[in-house]
Order: sequence, then structure tokens, then C-alpha cells
Amino acid sequence: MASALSQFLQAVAFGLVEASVISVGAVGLTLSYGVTRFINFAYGEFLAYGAFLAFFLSGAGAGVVGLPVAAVVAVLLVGALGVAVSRVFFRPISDRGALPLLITSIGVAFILRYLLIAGASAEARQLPVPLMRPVEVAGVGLTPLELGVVAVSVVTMLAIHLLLQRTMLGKTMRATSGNRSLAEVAGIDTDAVIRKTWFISAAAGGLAGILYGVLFAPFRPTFGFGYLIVVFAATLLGGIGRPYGAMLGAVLIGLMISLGSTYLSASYDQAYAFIALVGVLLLRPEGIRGGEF
Amino acid sequence: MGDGDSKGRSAGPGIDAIRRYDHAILSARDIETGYGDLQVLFGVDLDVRSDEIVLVFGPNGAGKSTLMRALVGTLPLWAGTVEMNGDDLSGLEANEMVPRGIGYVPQTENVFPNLTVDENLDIGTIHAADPEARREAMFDLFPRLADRRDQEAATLSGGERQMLAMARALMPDPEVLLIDEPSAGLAPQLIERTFEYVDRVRESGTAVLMVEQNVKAALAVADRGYVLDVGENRFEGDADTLRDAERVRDLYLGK
Ligand SMILES: Nc1ncnc2c1ncn2[C@@H]1O[C@H](COP(=O)(O)OP(=O)(O)OP(=O)(O)O)[C@@H](O)[C@H]1O
Ligand SMILES: [Mg+2]
Repeated sequence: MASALSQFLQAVAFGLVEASVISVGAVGLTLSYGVTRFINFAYGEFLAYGAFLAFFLSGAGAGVVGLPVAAVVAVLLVGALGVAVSRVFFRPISDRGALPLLITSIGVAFILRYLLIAGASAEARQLPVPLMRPVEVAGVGLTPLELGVVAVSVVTMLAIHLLLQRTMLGKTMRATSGNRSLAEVAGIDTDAVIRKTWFISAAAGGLAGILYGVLFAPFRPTFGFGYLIVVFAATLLGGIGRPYGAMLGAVLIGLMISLGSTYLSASYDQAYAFIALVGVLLLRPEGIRGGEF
Repeated sequence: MGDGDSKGRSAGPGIDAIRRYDHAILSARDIETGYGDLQVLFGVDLDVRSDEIVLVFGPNGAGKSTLMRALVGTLPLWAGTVEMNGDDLSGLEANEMVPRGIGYVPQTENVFPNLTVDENLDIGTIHAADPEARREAMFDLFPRLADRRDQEAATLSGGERQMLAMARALMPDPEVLLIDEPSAGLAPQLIERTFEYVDRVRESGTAVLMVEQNVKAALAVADRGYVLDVGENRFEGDADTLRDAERVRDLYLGK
């Protein structure tokens, strides 16, 4: 009886750890949707680039800096990559509507992925993190690393919350999301706001990829595209374009994957997210229409 | 009649002449624009002088909102010029109009629905010299908004939303406020109130260019007006002249 309970609590704990990764990714995806109004399928590649840049910059690769520094640099580089990608591919066609942008983003995903494979090979990699023993509390064990992932995610969510509610940049992002043409005539340089949003969105993607790499080693250059389904499910569940919804969606998807893996079968973990995604589209189709933040 | 230099294209004074004014703050000359292949404006002239309330009216689809969009740069000009205090504004981005002293309240979707009242005003502070003084001034003008500071704009009533839209546009203390049908959809008592607000805006030193369908009520506060029809100015004149002119009455005011 006690062990059934602790098995359940353990599954919930793992679910919340995975939710931490999903949440960072989902908030990033939803922010860019909120201001640009199209679903960026190249977003998964930001995760992959984050993990691989962190890998090459840290001990496991070039060995120049430790993982925390490598992670920060990688996140900033992926942010810059997001700005560059939007500038080169998305901005020139930004007035053509959501569908051309979405299809372009699928093409961009392929380009980025094969560039990464060309540069880094398709080999599976691991971030230089130590193996750690779980800390047990009331029969539930998590490693300090897993707790660290949760902490980084919580801090990131808090930072994004403060950005959106307290800073002028955040308010102009929300204004642009709510009514872009009014934002423009209200004196907001919406091009600049969108550029900054791309940076933040891609950087969040890069960070999610690094957190993924910390938890789920080894990883291949293709992991981002696969994990995009999971991130996407959380984003839609919360209503795309809504950061707080994305956080909630991440918790639900994380729990679903973890409980499914524990009680059904561990071999279908991402399929649970996919089922959730289909369920959302059937039961809550307004999720894909989205809102503003 | 009138104190403007009579340089209209049609000879002689009176409502048929579109007078042009030399010392206007906002001047539009021969504006042409439209959407895609559809030309909507065919050479419109318009001036707003300081301390004036100028009314634009005319039938639905005449191009009144289009004229406003052309003035604030959300629609590119096909021909003609827009000047503010003698500076050519053509080719500027819409977001560059606010620092030049132009405020604009669109006809619809004129607040940020997902932002609170206070946050909508925050957006207005971007180009405001003294944000907190302006915020207080807005709450003096619209006390209703002060009671609803933390409410999301999406949940405001139509009248409150219109107040918020005006307040947001007035935050930077513009030299001229462009406002598109401020009384649309409001109850009769609120319609009069709206024009009182417009009058107070002028008293506080901001000139107003207003599109309105409630022409009689609007003419009560306006100094001058233009009649726009099928993308052209048909008449221009002082408020009294327009009110009394038979042809304007027959065609555009109803009996
Ligand atoms: N975004 C648009 N795309 C294409 N055509 C448009 C657009 N907006 C307006 N039009 C057309 O331009 C013409 C003028 O429209 P506009 O909105 O300027 O008229 P209006 O005088 O403001 O009318 P109302 O009194 O109904 O507000 C109309 O024929 C309208 O159908
Ligand atoms: Mg109109």
C-alpha cells in the first residue's frame, strides 16, 4: 500500500521534473506565436542547438568552460540564431499570412537540422554532468541534478512573469500581441519588439534543450524535432499564445507522460504527449486558435 | 467668411471652396490612397489649426477612416503630402507619428484588450515627457478609469473603453488628436458626454480632428468641418455655415 503510494508520488515527481523542461520550451514557443501569429516548426531545432552548443562549449566538447558558463553562452547564441532566422526567413514574408510562414518554418527546421548534423555528426552526445544519487524524502527520490532542472525552470518562469508584467518591454510585447496595428500607432516600434521576442523565444528554446540534455542523455541532433510534439502539446493545451497557459499545459503533459510511463508502458513516453495533443484538438480546438498574453 | 486664407480651388467664398490654411499644425494636401487596386481617396486637402476642433463627416464608405489611416501613416500615401508644423511626414512609420505630436484613436479595436487600464496608459507613457502627471490628468478627465485601473480593457463597457482609448492617445500630450467616431455605439447621454470630453481636450491645448456620424451633436463643439464623399472633399466650412447650408443638410444631415 505504502509502496503503491510512493510509486505514484515518484511518478508525480518525475512528471514535474519533465514539466520543468517542457514549460521552458512551451513558454518560448508561445511567446513567439503570441506576437507573430504563426506556429514555428523550426522551434525544435532551437532545443537541439542549445544542447549541442552547450556540449561543444563545455568540458565534453572543446572543453573551454564549465557547463554553467557554456549553458549561458549557448542560450545567448541560440537567441541570436532566432533573430537571424526570423530576419532571413520569416520577416520577408511576414505579410503573407500564417500558412506560408508555417510551411517556411518546416523548411527552416530541415535546414537547421541538417546543418547541425553536418557540423556535429549524427552521433549521440552527453553533457558533462556527474551521475548523482537521488535524495530521498518520504519515499520519493530525485537527484540534485533533477532538482536543479526544476529550480532553473522555476526561476525562468518567474523571470518571464516579471518581464511581461513589470517591464516596458514586456508590456509592449503584450500590447503587440493583443493588437499589433494599435501598438504601432500608439508609438511602439513593433518590428523591434518582435525582434526581441524572437530572441527571448529562441533563447528559451535553447535553455529547454540544455535542460533536456541534462535529464535525458544521450541525445542526437534530431531530438529537438521529436520533442517539439511534447512542447507543442503543452502549448496547445494552455491555448497557444498564452504563457501562463503554457506553464499549466506543461505540468499536465509532464504528469501525463510520467504517469503513462509508470502505469502503462515506458516505451511510448512521447506518444502520451501526442495522444494529449490529439485530445486537445478534439476537445478543446480553441487551443490552436490561440489568444494573446 | 472665416479667417483662413481663401486659396480654395473653386472660386469665391462659401462652403464649396475648400479653404487652405497657411498656419495649420497638421496639413494634408492632395492625398490619394486606397487598398490594393481599390482607390479610396482622390486628392483630399485638410488642415487642423491649433485650438481647433475639426469635424469630418460624410456617408458610410466615403473614406473617412481611410483618411485618418493615411494621416497617421498606417496606409501608405499614393500621392500627396502630410505635414506637421511644416515637417513632411510622408514615408515615416506609423510609430514615428507619436513623437511628432500626433495622437490617434481608431474607430474600432482602439484599446489593448489583454492589458489593464493602467497598462494601456503605460503604453501611452512611451513618448510622454512626464508620465505620472499625464496619468493624473487623464484620471481627472475620466474619473471612471481611475476606479478601474486594474481591470482588463476587454471587460470595460463600450463607454469606458472609448474613454480609455482617448486617454491612452492623450498620454503623450499630443498637439493634435485624431479620433474616429468616438460616439459610435454609445447611449444618447454618453454621446453628449463624449463631445464634452472632446471639448475639454481642446481646452487643455490639444487640437482635435474628429470623424463623426452624430453630426449635429458634433457640430455643436466643432469649429470647422469637412464633408467627405466618395473620397473627395465636397464642402468645407465653419460649423455654423455647415449646419445651416441647405445643400449639406439635404445631402448629409437629413431633415
Ligand atoms: N482594409 C481594407 N481593405 C480593403 N478595402 C477597405 C479596407 N478598409 C476600408 N476599405 C474600403 O474603403 C472604402 C472606405 O472605407 P472607410 O472605412 O474609410 O469608410 P468610412 O468613411 O470610414 O465609413 P464608415 O462611416 O462606415 O466608418 C470602403 O469602400 C471600404 O470598403
Ligand atoms: Mg469609418
